[in-house]
Amino acid sequence: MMNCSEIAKNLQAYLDDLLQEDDFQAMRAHLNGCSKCRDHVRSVGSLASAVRTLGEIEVPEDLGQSILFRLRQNPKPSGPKRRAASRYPGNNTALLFAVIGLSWVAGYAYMKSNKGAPSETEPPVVMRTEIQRAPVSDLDASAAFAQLQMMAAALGVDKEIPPEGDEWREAPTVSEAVDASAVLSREMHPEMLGSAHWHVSYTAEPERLQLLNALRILGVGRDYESVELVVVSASAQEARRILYSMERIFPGQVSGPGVGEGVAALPEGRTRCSIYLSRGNTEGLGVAHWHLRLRGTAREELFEVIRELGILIDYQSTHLLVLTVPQVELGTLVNRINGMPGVVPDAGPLEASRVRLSAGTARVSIYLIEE
Amino acid sequence: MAIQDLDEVVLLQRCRKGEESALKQLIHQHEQSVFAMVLHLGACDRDHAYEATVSSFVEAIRELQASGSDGPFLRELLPIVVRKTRDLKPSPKFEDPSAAGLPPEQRQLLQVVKQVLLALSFQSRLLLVLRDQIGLRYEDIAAILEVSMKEARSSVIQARSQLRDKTREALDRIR
Repeated sequence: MMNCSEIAKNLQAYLDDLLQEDDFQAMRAHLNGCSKCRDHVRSVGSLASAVRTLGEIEVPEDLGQSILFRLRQNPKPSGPKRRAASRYPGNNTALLFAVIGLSWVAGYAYMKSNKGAPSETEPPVVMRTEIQRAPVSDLDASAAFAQLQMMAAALGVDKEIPPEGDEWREAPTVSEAVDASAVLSREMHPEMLGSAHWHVSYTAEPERLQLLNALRILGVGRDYESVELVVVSASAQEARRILYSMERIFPGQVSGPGVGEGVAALPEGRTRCSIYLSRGNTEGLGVAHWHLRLRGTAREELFEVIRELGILIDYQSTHLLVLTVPQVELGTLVNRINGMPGVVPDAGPLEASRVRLSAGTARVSIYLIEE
Repeated sequence: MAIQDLDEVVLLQRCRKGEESALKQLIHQHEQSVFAMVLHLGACDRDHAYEATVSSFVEAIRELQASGSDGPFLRELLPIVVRKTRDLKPSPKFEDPSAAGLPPEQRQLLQVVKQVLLALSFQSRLLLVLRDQIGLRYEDIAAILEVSMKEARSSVIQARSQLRDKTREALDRIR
């Protein structure tokens, strides 16, 4: 039989079930007769038991499905990730836009479920930082898309897409974006992307800088900024101020659904404002800016071409597509678009040679006008 | 808990071929323990734990499919989980332990142990979770942490000792 000091020495091995049979029996025999050691062992054992009990946590039902879904989205171990990384060195632009797109869908679903507006007793939860980046900051864009898609399916967001958005569901990249925002929809972000979509034509760089400065002064956070596109999240009041500033900086050069009607179209709460900046609709500064008038099934055909060529959509709304197009695909893209009977370039013919490329890729913004 | 048996070798072979039923089974075997591990190691909320768990599984399964290894899968998976969890920010929404049906004294102990665990270093927490929560063998813990088995064992014992001392202090304060 063991004595008390031997019990203390063998305690860990006992708890780990690592004792030889003889030692185990000897220990049991001592514990049967020694209440002090028994209490000590029980006390130590209860801690291990508590740690084990802490692990008895219910797993979210869709966890396994989510893993499988993401594996299906990117079945090749390294291909998609490498591609995403090369296109977005050092930033999460695609991810951000996926999130923005998703937020729109989530916002729509939220508003619809709340009969058009958040109730006064339950103010909308707006967590901009979380919505944009926090939950998925360490993921590549594809993974975020996949996650969001799964969540969108779980939430039934697809059913909430407005009828005029039916064609969006036809484009795989769009439904991926829907997924991304659905994850974020847990926070119920009541905003309508594109409800303040303005187009500014300017002639000199200082004007553009003046606008950026005005946004800084107004204190609105810029979700995305490139030479041609600024996306901000603003309250209805801030949106009105932005519009007012723009009309002062670019007199007569601002167009868009909000102009002349105030910004009455904005829902209460925050809204996503897109400000599209162009120098007379010409190419420049490493980007291509096209205006396309779409007829019939042209929208679906356009998305089909983009999908076929494997071009990643950086941003998408009803009226605006932003793509990053590798040089080798640019000519094909232009030829295919020019070959579509339902697509009419609104600002002269599309020519790949007019697109200035930067480091082998071009940022192509396509403004879509339904006819 | 043995980290691998013959069944798992067969399962992993099927997973490498992309058999969905095998992948489901593999995920099902480990999702609960990994999710709980992320929650307690990261002291985070369920959303963040969910995301870290999913991305860890995806990365580990892709590694498995790319490397052609016969496992053990947990030795692929858990280092990834640890890496992804290390940077998670603790959340006040970190959930309470499931204590329904337990007598008040045990419920109190669970709460205290939970708080004490959070106060321990990440490494101590990791050792306790691997050994006492998931129930891994010392040789598997040693492989995952890339240390000797002797070192793994002494580290676990040391972490248990810390947990015991701090829990006792906390309970004394309450009483």
